[in-house]
Amino acid sequence: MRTKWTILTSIALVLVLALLVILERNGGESVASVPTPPTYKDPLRIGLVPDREIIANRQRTRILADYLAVQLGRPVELVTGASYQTVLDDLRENRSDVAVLGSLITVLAIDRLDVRLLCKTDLVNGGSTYAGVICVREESPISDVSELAGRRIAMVRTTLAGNLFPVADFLRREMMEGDNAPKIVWVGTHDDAILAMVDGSVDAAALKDARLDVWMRENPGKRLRVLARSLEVPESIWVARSDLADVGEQVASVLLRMDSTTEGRQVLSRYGAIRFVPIELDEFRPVYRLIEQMGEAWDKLGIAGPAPKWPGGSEAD
Amino acid sequence: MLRRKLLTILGSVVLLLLGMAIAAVFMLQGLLADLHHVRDQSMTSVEQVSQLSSKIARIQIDLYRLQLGQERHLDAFLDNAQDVQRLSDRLSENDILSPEPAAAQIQALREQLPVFYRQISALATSQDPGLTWQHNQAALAATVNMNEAILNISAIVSRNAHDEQTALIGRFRWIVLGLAIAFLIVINVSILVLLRTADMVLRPVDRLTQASRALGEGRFETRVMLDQGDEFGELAASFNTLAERLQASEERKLETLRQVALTLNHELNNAMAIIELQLDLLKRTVKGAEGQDKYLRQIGESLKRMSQTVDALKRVRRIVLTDYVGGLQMLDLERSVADEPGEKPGQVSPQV
Repeated sequence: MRTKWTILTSIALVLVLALLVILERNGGESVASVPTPPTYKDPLRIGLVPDREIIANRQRTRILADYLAVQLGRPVELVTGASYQTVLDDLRENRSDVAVLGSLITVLAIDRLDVRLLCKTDLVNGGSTYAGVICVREESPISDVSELAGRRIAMVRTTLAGNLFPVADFLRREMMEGDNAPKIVWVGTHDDAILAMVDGSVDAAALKDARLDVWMRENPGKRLRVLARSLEVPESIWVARSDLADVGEQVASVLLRMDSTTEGRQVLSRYGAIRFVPIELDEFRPVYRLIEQMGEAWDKLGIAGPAPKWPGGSEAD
Repeated sequence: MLRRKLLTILGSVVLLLLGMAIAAVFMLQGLLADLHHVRDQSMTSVEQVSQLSSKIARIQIDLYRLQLGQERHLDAFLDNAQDVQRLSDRLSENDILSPEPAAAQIQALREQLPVFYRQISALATSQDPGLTWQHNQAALAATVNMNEAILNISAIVSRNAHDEQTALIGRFRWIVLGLAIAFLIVINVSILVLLRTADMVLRPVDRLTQASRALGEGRFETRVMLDQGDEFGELAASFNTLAERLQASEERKLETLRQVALTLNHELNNAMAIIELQLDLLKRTVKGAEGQDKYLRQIGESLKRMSQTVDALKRVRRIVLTDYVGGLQMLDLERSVADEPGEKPGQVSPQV
C-alpha cells in the first residue's frame, strides 16, 4: 500500500516539476492590459511638474506612458522635477523630450525655451480649461475682492490660479501697497488653500475652479463663495522640444486619437481624462494679459527671469 | 492453529512496531514542518522589516538631498515612497505580526503613512522654498516615527522567532524523550511476547523430547500431558498413543516370556526334581569319594542355577537384550528383572 502511494506521489511530483519547467520555458503571459514595449537605446522622457496626490498621479501617468511606449515603439520614462524650474531646465538641457505643464509654466517654457505645443488634457474632473478663482466661506462678511485689504489669503506659488491671477487682480485694484495689501499665506496645493480657508486660518483662498468644484462636491455641507474669476486657460498642456519635431508629432498624434479606440479610452479613463484636444497659442492670451497686468510687480512672484512676452512681439489682446 | 496463534502474536508485534514508527515519523514530520514554517515566517518577517527599514533610510537620504538641493528630480524618491506603501501592506498581511504587541506597532506605522504621503505630496508640489523646507522636515519626522515603529517590529519579530524556536526545541526534546520511552516499552513488550511465543513452542518440544528419550530408553509407561489444543497437543496425543502401544507390545512380550518361563518351570522342575533325587541317591552311594563329591556338587549347583534361571524368567519386568555370539542377541536376565531406580513395587507408570 505504502509502495503504491510512494510510486504515485513520485509520479505526481515528476509531472508537476515537468509542468513547471515547461511553463517557465514558455514564459507566463503578462496580464497587464498594455504589453511590455521593446527595449531601445533612447527612451522618450516625459517631464512632469509635481501635482497634488503626486504618487497617485504618477501611477496614472505611468499607465499613459506605457500606452505611449507601445504606440511609439520605444520605452517611455517619467522625469519628475522637484520644481517647475527643474522641469524647464530638463527641457533646456535635453534631459527630457516632452513635458506636461500648467498654463503659467507653459508660457515660461514658450518664452525661455524653444518648445512646441502638442495638446491639452480634457480632464474628467475639470475639463480642458480652468479658471482662477478667489473665494471665501459662505458665511464670510467679505463680498468683494477689495474687502480683502489687510486680510489673509491662501495662495499657491508659481501657479496662475493661486499666484498670478490674485496678485494681478490685487494690482489692478491697487491693493498691493502698504497696509492695504492682503497678507499672503503660501500653501502647497490648491486643496491646502481651501482647507486653510475652511478652518479659518485665512479669510480667502486663491485656487483653480476645478479643485473648488471637486471640493464642494465632496463636502456638500460646506459652501464657499467666489469673489472673482479669471478667464479660462488651458489645462495640463503637453509640450515638446522643437528640435524633436517628429517626436512631438508622433506623441501628439497618439494622444489626440486615443479617444477613438477602445484601448485608448480605457487608458484615458485610468489616467483621469476624457480625451486630449489640440491647442493653439491664442488660448494662452489670458495668461499673457495677466502677466502684462503684473508689470514691474512680476518680480514679486518669485519666478526667475523677466516677464514673458507674447511671441512675435505684439502684445496679447 | 499454532500457525494462526504465531501469526497473530508476531503480527501484533510487527503492527505495534510499525505503528510506533509511523507515529514517530508523523510527529517528527510535523515538527520539521513547524520548524520550516517558523523559519520561513521568521525569515520572511525579518526580510520584510529589513526592506522597509532600508527603504525608509533611502527616503530619508532623498529628503536630505532635496533639502540641500543635491537632488532635483523626484522619481527615485517617489518610487521609494511607493515601495514603502507596498512593503507596509505586505507586513500587515504577515500572520505572525497579527497579535499584540506587533499589531500596535503595525498600526502606528500605518498611521504615519498618510501623514508621510501628505507631506511628500505637499513637499513635491510646493514651489515655495519655506513651505518646501517645512514639509521636508515634517516628512522626515514622519519617517523617524515610522523607523521607530519598524525597529519595534523588528525586535518583536526577533523575539517571536526566538520564542518559537525555543518552543520547538522543547517540543522536539519531549518528542524524542517520549519516543525513546515508548520504543523502550514497545521493545520490552515485544521481547516478552517473543519469549512467551518461544516458550509456547519450546516447552512442549522439551517435554516431547524428554518423553521420546525416556521411550527410547524403554520406559514405555512414559506419557506426555499437554493441555494445548494445537499441533503440539496432537503430537503429544500421538506420542501417548505410540507409548501405549509400545507398552502394550512390551507387556505382551513379557507375558509371553512369563508363559514360556512357566512352561519351562513346569517341565524342567519335574526333570530337575528327578535329577536332584538321583543325585541325592548317588551321593549316598558314592560317599567318601572326593572327586565324585565335587562333580556331584557341581551338578547340583548347575541344577540350582537352572532353577534360578527359570524362576528369574518368571520375574522378567522388561526385555533387555545383550549381545551374544555371531551377531545374535540374547536376553539380559539380570537387567530384565531389575527394578527402576527409585521405583517401588506396584508404582504407577511415570508421566512426562
